Amino acid sequence: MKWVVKWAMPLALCLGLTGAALAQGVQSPQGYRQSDYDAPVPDDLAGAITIGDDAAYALWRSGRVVFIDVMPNLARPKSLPEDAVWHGRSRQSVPGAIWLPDVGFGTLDAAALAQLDAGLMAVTGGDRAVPMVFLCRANCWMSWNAAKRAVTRGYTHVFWYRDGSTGWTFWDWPTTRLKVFQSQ
Amino acid sequence: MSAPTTRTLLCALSLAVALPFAAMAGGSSSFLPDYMKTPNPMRQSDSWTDFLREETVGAALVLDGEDLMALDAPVQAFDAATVPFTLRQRDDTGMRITNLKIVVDENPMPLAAEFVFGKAMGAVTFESRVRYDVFSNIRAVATLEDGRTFMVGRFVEAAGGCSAAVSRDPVAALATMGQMRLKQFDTSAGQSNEAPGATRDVQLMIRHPNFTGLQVRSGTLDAIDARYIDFIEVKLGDEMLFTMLGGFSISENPSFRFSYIDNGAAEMSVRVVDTEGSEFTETFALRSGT
Repeated sequence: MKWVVKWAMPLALCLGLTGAALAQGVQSPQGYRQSDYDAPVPDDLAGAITIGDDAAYALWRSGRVVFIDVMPNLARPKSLPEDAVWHGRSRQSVPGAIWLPDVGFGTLDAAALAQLDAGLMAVTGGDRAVPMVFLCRANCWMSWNAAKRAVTRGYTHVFWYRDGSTGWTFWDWPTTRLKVFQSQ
Repeated sequence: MSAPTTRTLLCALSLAVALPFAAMAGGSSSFLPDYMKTPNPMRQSDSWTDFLREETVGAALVLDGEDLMALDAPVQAFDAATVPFTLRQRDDTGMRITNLKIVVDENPMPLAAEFVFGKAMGAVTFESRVRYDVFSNIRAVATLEDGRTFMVGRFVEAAGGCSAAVSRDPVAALATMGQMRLKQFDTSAGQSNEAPGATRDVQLMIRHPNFTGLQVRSGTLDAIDARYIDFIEVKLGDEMLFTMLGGFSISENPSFRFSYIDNGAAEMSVRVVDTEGSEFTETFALRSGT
């Protein structure tokens, strides 16, 4: 029984500290996350519903929810010869999702804003109640930013798929290669 | 259960276990399902069906190439910037591969290289290394003399190789760019040095950073401009051995190991051109040359 006495204090301290660290979580910024997008994310997003893998899968199976992937694309290097064939990054994600690669950054230029508005218009037809799921991958602020933008624009059924494609592919659910959304 | 029955059962069982493996060793047994022929068969790919097929072969009919050639590539690669592959044409096919394309489906620039082979290549054995951006198939698309197109492929788990750090200081890499070496391997005893007609085995190594344009300088994180070898011509004396049109999916310091049929030529000459228009040439004396 001696060892219990000997280790009780360090053990309790250890557990207590870990618990405190976990409970603290990640603070949500006032506006949008502006840098270090590959980092731990908050547990939730005000105005949106945070979902896990199973909920995302169920929503996808329902066929009535729009999936919006905001993982950034690989920019074509300017130094590449003009005749070189370039296909960008192969984004394997939820089948049927639309891919808006520029809308998850902290600050959007005019082109990115246009992409966001055109993309949202294309999938909702202007109906603010259309349910939509935003995703990128686990520990990625891009989907958090983008979902917040949708909430700010008045969309009422915004889901934030926190683990994104990382969670999706972990379960071996089907994926397809997404094409970058082009507005007509 | 009586002893003879047990023995019969055991016999049958061991046969059942051994047969598939025996067939696997044979290699070209097409009755086996893909997963028994190789641990990493090619997977269904949207990229191929959506646009790569059209880009690579156009409207041509693509036939299963497992009986013509074998493509070896690892299940997982240690270094996504240098994923090795080997293409071996089976000796007994009696048909000449005139054109070979190496495609990495999910790379930003999927066509790694297109080779045109001369007669002296014989039954093609070709080995090199490619970059991998994300998990992907690698496929070899071969066109024969008679115009038919065959394809084999493997799936490799490797990622990050197109933007992976440059292995040496970029300035130093540019300073030694274009240096070449040819390693000549001893041919098997008994048939060596009986030129012409003997099969030779060599490795051509070219110093070139093959910058993808996706890499950054360490420290400053400035982008390094794309600059890669887009043309190689290798001649055996006056005879064309092969040419290559390349993209940045070929790894830095490109290395090609291949075999050829000795035509008696005393030297092998290599001409390399990169996307900046720099031209490098080298001539190697062949040990077996007359």
